[in-house]
Amino acid sequence: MSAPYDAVVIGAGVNGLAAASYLAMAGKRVVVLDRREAPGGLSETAHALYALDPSVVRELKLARRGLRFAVRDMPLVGLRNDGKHLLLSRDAYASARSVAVHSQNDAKAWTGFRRDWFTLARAMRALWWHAGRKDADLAIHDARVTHFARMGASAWLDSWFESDAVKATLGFDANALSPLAAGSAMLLVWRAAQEMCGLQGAVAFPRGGLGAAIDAFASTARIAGVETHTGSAVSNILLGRDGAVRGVVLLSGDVVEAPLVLSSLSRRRSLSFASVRATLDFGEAAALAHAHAGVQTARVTLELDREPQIVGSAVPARGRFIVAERLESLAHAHAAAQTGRLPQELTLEVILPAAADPTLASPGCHLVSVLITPLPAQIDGGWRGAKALLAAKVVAALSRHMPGLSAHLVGVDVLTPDDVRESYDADDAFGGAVDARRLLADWRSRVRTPVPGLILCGAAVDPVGAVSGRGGRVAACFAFERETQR
Amino acid sequence: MTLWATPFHARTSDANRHNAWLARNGVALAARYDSVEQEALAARLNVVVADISWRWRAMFEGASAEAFLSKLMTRDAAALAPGGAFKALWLSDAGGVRGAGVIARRGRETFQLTASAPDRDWIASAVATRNVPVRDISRDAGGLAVIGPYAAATLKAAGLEAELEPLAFRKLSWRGIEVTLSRWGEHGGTEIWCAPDDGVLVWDRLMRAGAAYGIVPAGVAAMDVLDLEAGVPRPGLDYKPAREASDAEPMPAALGLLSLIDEAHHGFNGRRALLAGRPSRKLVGLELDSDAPAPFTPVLLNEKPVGHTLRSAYSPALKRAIALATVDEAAAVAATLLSLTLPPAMAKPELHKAVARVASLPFLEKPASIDA
Amino acid sequence: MARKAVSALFFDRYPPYPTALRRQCRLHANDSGGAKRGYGLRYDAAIIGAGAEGLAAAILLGRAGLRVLVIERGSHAGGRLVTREFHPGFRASPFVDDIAEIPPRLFWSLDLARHGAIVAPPRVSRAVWQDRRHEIKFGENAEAAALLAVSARRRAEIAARVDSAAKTAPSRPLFLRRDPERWPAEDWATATLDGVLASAPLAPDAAAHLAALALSQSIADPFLEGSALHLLAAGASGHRLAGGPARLGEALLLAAQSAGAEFSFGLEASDIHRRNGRITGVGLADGSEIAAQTVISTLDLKRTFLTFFAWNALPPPLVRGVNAFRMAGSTARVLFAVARRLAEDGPIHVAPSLSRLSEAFQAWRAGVAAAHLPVTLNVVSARDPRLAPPSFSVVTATMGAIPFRLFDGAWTHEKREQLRHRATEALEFVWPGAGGSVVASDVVAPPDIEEAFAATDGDLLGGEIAGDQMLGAGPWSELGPDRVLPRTPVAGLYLAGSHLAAGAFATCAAGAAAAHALLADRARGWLR
Repeated sequence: MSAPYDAVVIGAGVNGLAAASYLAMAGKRVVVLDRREAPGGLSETAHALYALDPSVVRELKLARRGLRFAVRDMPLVGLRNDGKHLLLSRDAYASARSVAVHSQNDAKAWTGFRRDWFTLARAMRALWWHAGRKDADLAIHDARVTHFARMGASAWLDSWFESDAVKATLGFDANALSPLAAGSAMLLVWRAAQEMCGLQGAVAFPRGGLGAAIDAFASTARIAGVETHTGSAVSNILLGRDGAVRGVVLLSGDVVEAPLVLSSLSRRRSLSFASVRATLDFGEAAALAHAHAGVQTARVTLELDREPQIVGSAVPARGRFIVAERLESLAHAHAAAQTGRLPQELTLEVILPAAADPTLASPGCHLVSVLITPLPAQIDGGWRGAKALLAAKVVAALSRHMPGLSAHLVGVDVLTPDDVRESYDADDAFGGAVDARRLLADWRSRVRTPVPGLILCGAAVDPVGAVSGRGGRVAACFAFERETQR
Repeated sequence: MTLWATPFHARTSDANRHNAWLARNGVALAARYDSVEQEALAARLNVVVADISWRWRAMFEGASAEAFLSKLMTRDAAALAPGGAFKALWLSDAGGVRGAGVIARRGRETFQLTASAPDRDWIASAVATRNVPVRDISRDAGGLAVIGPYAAATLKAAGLEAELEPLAFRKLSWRGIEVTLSRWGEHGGTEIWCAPDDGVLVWDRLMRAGAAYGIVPAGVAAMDVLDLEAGVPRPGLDYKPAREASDAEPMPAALGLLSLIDEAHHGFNGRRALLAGRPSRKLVGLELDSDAPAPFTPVLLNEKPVGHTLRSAYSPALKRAIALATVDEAAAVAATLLSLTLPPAMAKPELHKAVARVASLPFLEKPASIDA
Repeated sequence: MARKAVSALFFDRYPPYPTALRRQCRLHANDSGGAKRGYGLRYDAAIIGAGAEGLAAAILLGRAGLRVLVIERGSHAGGRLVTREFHPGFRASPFVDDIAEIPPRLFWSLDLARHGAIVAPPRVSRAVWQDRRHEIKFGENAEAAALLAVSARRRAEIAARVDSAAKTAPSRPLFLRRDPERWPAEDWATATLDGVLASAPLAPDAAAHLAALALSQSIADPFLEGSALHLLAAGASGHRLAGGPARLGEALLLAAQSAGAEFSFGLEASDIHRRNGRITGVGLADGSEIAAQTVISTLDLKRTFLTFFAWNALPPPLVRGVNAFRMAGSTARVLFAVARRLAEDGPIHVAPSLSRLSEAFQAWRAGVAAAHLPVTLNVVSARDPRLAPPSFSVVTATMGAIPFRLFDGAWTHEKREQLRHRATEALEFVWPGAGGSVVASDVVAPPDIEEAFAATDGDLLGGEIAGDQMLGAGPWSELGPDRVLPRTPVAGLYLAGSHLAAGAFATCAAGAAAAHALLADRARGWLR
């Protein structure tokens, strides 16, 4: 690698590539390092996009680089054990009709709830989207926001709805925290504050799957002049005598020098590099030692030889299917994950990629992509041994709604939390533990580190880690701000 | 100057975990055993035993002792029957308070004076003119006070079944030792006086008997808090007793001690000056709006100084700092709000004002006895 | 007199009565039954419930010169501050052994010490496990002292904040609904109990002991965000009185009577009458009406709104908010008469580990009493020898994580026997052999608590301890910070239950806050 670089980005995920692209577009010489053989990072643990920042899409001109969407707004479907599946989409009448099957009162409350929810979400954008806006302060001090920050999702949903179907289907999206935990209501608000393809709160499926989205980011970075080196793991950060960053040291021993290092690793891992850890104050070091990972996600991809059929009431195949019977199931799953046990009743999010994007369909090979949250970080006997058990449980849970699943099963691919940790060098899929404080913190506190020249740009920068690119954008803003100040 | 160890020293030093000692009247005493607040509350909730061997005791004997004491004290000693006692003051020539104590008639010609502070020289010179032998018997006996709602029950459990009236005293034989029981204190409890050699035995017997009622030893600091809550001013702590013959201060009225003066008793030292009468301040209790005590601080009513506080301490029963204070008549009305300036403290390093509410004395009634 | 001095600070503005009526009022001025028969004498305030909160409010209002009537459905005052003889010769307080602290300022202004209430702070707390014990001496520099001190300071700050908010009459609604100041303990509202205990440098035994102290009267999952708020309860209760909690009730009653409050015993308040948005009176169970301008209710939030008003008399958002308010009754008590003299002072916690507490929480939510329950034993006769004959003891067992609604039906005799059995096991665990020396026992199950105090779900704390139900947030906090408890959206109604704004961790504070709010609103002439 030819020196000198202006910035080094650790991690070629969506956020890392976005940060590098912004810096390169401003004329900096940037190099991106990733330990894996291909860019993509943690986005490989997601199967749909819901948090892609519209500013990032616009400014990096991702549409021109090949980012197209096969489905702009995947409807939310709650698969119920009794076959009366719940369909919640942008069509208010259809949603109300579907809810009415479970409860008339809930059908009446649905519009009001959604309006309330989405209005609050838009109001919170001042804090979450626009870094450093003045009215972010106002947003935080509003009594309503304080109330929400301390409320559990189950308390909020219980106050609006009475049927388990609606509550569990909606509550799944707050699964980074237990629904009984304070702050989980704010997670739902965060989900609703996102915008995909111009639609608030939508979940979109990119044409060509997430791989195509990554390619769009990678090509933007390439065109902007970013050097990407895969297969280069970073082992340490070089610090100068004044404690400021001088560059990074690779596992192979090479040194890359740059005055600015942007890290897409979590805060805990970024500050755990040997040289950085030595410079931390006692309080920070203790906080780091006590920082615990959030809930873990696993991804199971089932390969079938036949298109999966869902029994029960008619539901669109290009939807996002939630398998969670009651809010209590989510709470129990979290409690089990806390103690290191596999939950008895798994709570799943299922997508049929071929149904969403026909270009992905190939005859004889139909995929079912399943995300399982929450799961324990460590399990008795290790995740390696539990892989098969996890896959079996997923198949059993899905067979209820897609009968004959196991008969048509051709292959199973399981990405366990251990795999996520090892291959992506991440604590979890959310960039660290999520709590209400992180949701309401000023963005600067999430980007900055005690080491001058080291800033975070990954999922840890977002209030809740997701495939968004916002972290990269905010980190680039911060880097520019810092430069103009000097 | 060496300090005298009380007859109970072996037990008090064992119980004095924090090694907090203080000296009073030349006696080494435990200031507190556990915490002042716990002991003061235990005196109101359960029962405590306190070492009061520091009280000054003098014995007057002889045929002219009665006449002398009538001249000395503000109550008539001649009216005392053997076995009786009263509380009175003795004043300087100009009417200032020299001391307060209990006169107990132990026999026809034997009187014992028990007081908080000694006044040896002046009394010695006074008796010299009258030829009354006086002996300081403070070191001849140790005393324990048993105070609290379960005090009577504790004594009963220990085998001391004397039904004593307030201010009465009696000599008993208690399972092989001679003790004197008295009720001279202000807190409704009973005092046990014993020979120095029997001290440890008496302590052990009491602690064993009171174990069922949660007995704890109380240090001097806790007893001072109780005194404060009872509104009793103590020489040396609240006021400087008059020492010169011409000292008219402090006046009995200003210390709230008028009740210890018998109007009908003629011829006690300083009576003429007292009757000449001068406007005097009154003794009131102040409940401060703070936890920090404010001793010897001027108090103001509507920004005008009207008096000053005497001793002040935090009262755990009232959850406030309280103080005795001498104030002008106008300010001595109950529930008046006065203000005073508290000195700087670690938490508040500046002068700051606090409000004090005038309360009638005593702050709290004596703990009522419970028959267990 | 204190009364006159204080009332001079507030100027009373009675609505103008016609002259004839005024004359009639003066005629009946000494007839205390007049208001009851509706002769036109109005009380300035009616207080529902003569527990600690109601009596405290009565004292403050009476001293301010208001005509106050305290309505109590039982036969005597005191609420949960009662002592009952549960077996011949053995007495105990069936609901609480000791009280939460009365803020010192309030204690002073209520003048309780002079009426006979001497309150001693808690001294020591012990936790017992299979093979070891742990002791915390309050007030000494023990291991857990720093965290206990933080908790005590925050409790005091919260009480002060609630009181000052109550005393400030609400201003006109602000353009922005801002609550500019952060509430103390706000960070605990979104932190986990486990996290806070881990980040304070505590030995594991001390941490488990503190968790037991924090959850002695409530229930939480220590691993859930928001459970750190229960730390406010650590060290809050345990204040004992000479003569037991009943003595506080007596002292409050004496003080209330000397402040001029009147009492009505034996009849339950059944509804609150309103006209044109103003409260006109309280209806009693026998059909009579007490005319009153304002009402302070010491029942909990749900019970107040759902009992005293018709469902369609309140605006729907208020009804929804009240329905969404969560109660978390989780305690049951067993009183034991033991034929052994036990002398251990202070509560003894049989404290399960944090993960067992989490399981107990999950089980409680499902309506089951878990296998390992937190139990607190208290030898009340060690502190108050009058409660038991000599060489006997009275031990109370407070069990947590007991669901109010069992998943398999009502509280039958068998279920109570199971409770008794569990408590006896705990007793045996701490004092081997004591289980066999039990002479008699009495079970106080959650339904009994509900029946005794009209406490919804048997929740003596007045609601679930959660950040969205206290610290400035509540069912109607969206209406603005001026609607924070004790004020309610109903004009003239104030809540003084042991609700969570101030009351859960302080005795008498909620009643005092309600009284202050009432006086402040009166002084401003009812500007709302």
